[in-house]
Amino acid sequence: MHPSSYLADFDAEKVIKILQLFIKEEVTKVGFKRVIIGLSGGIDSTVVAYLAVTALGPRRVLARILPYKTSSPESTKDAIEVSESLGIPHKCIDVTPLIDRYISKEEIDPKSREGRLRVGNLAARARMIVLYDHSQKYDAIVLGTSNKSELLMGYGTLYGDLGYGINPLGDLYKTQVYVIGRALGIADKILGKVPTADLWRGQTDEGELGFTYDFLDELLYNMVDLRMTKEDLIKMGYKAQTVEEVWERMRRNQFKRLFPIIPKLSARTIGKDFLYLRDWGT
Amino acid sequence: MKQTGGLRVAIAQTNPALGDLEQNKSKAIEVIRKAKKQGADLVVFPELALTGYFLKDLVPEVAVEALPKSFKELAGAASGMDILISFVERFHSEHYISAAYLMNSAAPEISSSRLAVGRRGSGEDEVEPRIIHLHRKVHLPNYGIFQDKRFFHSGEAVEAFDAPFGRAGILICEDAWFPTTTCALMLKDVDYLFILSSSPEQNVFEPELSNSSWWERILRVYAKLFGVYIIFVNRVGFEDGIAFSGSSRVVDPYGNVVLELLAYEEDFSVFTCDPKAIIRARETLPLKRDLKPHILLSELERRENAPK
Repeated sequence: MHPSSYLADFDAEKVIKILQLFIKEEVTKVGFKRVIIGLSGGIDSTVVAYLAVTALGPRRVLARILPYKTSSPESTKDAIEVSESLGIPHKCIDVTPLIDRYISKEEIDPKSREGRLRVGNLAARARMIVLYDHSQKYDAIVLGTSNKSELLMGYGTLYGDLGYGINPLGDLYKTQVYVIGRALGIADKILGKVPTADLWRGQTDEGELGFTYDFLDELLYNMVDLRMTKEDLIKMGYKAQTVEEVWERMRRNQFKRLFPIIPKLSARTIGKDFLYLRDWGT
Repeated sequence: MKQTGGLRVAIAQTNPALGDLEQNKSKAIEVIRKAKKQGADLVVFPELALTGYFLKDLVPEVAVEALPKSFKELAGAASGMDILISFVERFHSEHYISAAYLMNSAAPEISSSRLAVGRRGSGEDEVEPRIIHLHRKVHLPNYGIFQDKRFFHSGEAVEAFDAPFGRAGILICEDAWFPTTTCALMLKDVDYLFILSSSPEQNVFEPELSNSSWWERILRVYAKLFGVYIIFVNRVGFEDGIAFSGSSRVVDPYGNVVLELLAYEEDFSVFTCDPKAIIRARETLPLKRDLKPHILLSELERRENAPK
């Protein structure tokens, strides 16, 4: 099947149905009452919020809008608007005070490249802290918002935005998330935004990845879903350097997708031969 | 067992809890009572309805022996109705994915003096439950998301049996994806084929290739080619984020889907089969009669005798 059909021309209603049933089952069967989501005002977290509301009803979906001082004020406004239009309980909590004292004590210079990355990761982890704290307080499971493109490229902060209980978008490429978003009736304003992690001003996903999602998703579909070799991909017309770069980036970030490695000493080791699903007993 | 009309079968499209025998037994009992109330002769559950599917190291912990005593609460709730139930079987220290036909009704032609004493309760056809047929899953998928072969011993045979309503056979999930195995079973003059499944959705983006579409095709083809009723019972719910697709179906001997349950959600329905439909369908299209098994035999013999 042609990648652009696969990525765009699928049964969005069926996907939405499965994701709604998934959210409902995963939340209730492990004993949680609600879900909690970090809303950024961007497409991914908005789609997750819509899915959760249609699965559980608005009262059981908690939104947390968690800006850092460098976050775009428009995004914060958009996130609040989404919460209000969905009728979900929401709170806006500035995470700046959680990390700025540490940043100045550590003398991190946010204007340097390294400093900017450190601050970005600190902010992402600060958000995780708030979400997990509120998860405990409100008996709510944390919903992730990382899509398949991001996960494959390692575009996320370990224990930051990659910290969550279940992740409904994890098997959808970014391009496919847009299709779902449209089918859910999400406003064009959100759908039309430039994707960004907003960890520093001017940051864009596509600027950082070096490709548009349209391009990247098609390449990833061929590489991952169809398991084409590097040679096949080059024959298809992709530049050898591009293929190499994306492949390497995928390989290098496998650690972000798996539980950390435990050296085997005993006859039965966690993660190797202690084999139970996460759903064990539910 | 009523002899007027055909088999009245209840389809229990359930969502088992992974590794929780007690919870699954309670769920099953609820459905059994419902089926009994709706006058079903038989209630059929999906593959591993008592245990859940992706068991891995849970296999030995949920295994039971294929004896009536393992299902006594279910039999009690059925009060005279038969049950087709799937579970992890322990037999001679090995584990199988098995399905048992638990007969709680009296065999119609046997005189009452030969029957075991009736149990407590008022049903006139309540007798000691007994397992009149056991099928062990022969084909264990071991690719992609499946690891059946790693945790289970495979069954060695397919057999038909005489159920109160007619001659029947049972296949479990992957078994039915092999025309060889299905054909072997059909050669034993089956009229009713029960296929119990835990079939997951894989590839929602290409509906032509989805499990659910392929099941529909396979069921319709088999039903038509062999002139049989097929009762396909598939589970629902999620394990490890994998959605089981449901869409349980009854297909008639003409190859028509005459009943279809919900996709992805728990469901329940009762269908009355028409034994005359089997006769009429085979009159119109006598493929089963014209099957030539000796062609297969010749090929198998050739393989046996070929130089290695």
